[in-house]
Amino acid sequence: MLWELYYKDMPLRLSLLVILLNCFIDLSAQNEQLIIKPPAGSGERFFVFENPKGSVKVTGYDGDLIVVNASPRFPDIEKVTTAGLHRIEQNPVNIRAEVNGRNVLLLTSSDGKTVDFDIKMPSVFSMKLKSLDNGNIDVLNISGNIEVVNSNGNITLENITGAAVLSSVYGTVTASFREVNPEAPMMFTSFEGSIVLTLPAMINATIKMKSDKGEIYSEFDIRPVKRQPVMRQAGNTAVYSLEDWTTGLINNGNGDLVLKTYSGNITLKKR
Amino acid sequence: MKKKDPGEKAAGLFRNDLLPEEEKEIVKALEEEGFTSREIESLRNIGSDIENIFSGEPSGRMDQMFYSMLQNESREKNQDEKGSSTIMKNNLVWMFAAAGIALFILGWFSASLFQDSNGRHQLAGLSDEVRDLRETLALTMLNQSSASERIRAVNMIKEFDKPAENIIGNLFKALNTDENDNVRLLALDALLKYIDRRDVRDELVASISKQTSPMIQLRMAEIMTALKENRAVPEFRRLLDDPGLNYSVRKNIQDAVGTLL
Repeated sequence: MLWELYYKDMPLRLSLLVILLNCFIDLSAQNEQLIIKPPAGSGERFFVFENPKGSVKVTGYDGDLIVVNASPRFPDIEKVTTAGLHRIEQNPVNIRAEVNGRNVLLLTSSDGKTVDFDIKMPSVFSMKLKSLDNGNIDVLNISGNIEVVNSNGNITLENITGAAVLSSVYGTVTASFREVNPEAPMMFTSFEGSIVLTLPAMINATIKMKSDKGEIYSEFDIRPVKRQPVMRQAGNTAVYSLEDWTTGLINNGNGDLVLKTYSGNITLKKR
Repeated sequence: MKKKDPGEKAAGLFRNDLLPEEEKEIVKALEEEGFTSREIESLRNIGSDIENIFSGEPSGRMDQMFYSMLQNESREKNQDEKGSSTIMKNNLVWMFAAAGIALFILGWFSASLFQDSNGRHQLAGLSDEVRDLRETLALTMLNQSSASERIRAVNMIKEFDKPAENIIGNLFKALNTDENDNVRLLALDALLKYIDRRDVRDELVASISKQTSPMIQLRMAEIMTALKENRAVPEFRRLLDDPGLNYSVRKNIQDAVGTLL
């Protein structure tokens, strides 16, 4: 009965083939690990990493070391045998770290392969992360100033204390803060993705928002700030208009928040 | 409790440590002397700005930048002081000292301001000193490695009524070369305040084809259409030549070119 189905049903056959192939890929995956001792003592520590192709996941933990795990997403499965010989895969990923003063710089080269990075680090760390292609960036349980640029993928921050400046072009930007540093301005932008921001309920913020094609939703009561008039000379004509941002105060106002998307929605949630 | 003299009160305004009635009194005195509410707000913020900018570990780049600006200032004001600033070059403590000296000078200015008969002249001096100091701070912050600090610098610059030429030059530098799209977008918005200046408009037009962020390219299309700036058309055509240009941006730029022609 099952064999009959197998022979008749082409999609089922393909699905089984994909499952078998995935098992093979998982078995042959070659992970690389690098352990870094970050600078100790007080003062802001800074981690910088740019992944040319692939995802980055950073998770804060109670330990003292930075543990970097790099996994090629599509391991080299071409084990061609010629006259009884099979090719030995050489180091698929190169990782190097430089610790200089309070800064930790992680470097990688992977010859165009997609490599996903899973990084565990002490939870109090500021960072600048970038993925140039084919990946998402996730940051969890971190206390510090976080800067992320990921043009083609999503950005997700979860359980953060501090401040963030996040920018994507095609991805969704999601950030959830446990506490916010009121002194540091924050900005979240995505051209085609939505922005979902979760803030402590008692936050004081002056918030500027704009979605050209999408909508803005909020769980906070936002007191609108009067739009400022703008006068510009267009050729021989003086044009008077109002600024095109939606500005408002959450609670008593104070810290600056800017959110902008072209075609996505903006959603503000209370933590 | 010892009663504060007017000079102490003015210095207290920089430090934000006045009692509410003392603050009210000094603000009223400044208003009577012709200070605008924005200038008074500048005075109020300067202490916290200095405190904030020096609260973190300054980067080497920031150290160098602030040092060179301070050195230029000293060179202009007093040639004899060259030697002493060189001694401080490798010591980060000088930055705190510079901030302290600045506050001291401001305090001294304000003390004499309320005691001299020549008060109005002193006020102008105080206002200039405050403006120069805030501009130097903004430029230093604009060159920090943290995007959040650079955003703070652009926000600070937006509050300036008549910024020095190099401030506008640095906004253009941010618009054209900053590594962070968000900083570039804010720099563009800050420059709109000076859009009626011919030189600013020229540089803005020249900047169009340098932009790679879809958000900024689109904003440029909106701005140039609103300004009816047809000199932007060749720059937009350069962007349209890029086959990788975002679909929505391409459509908006084509519409802008159609309107401007």
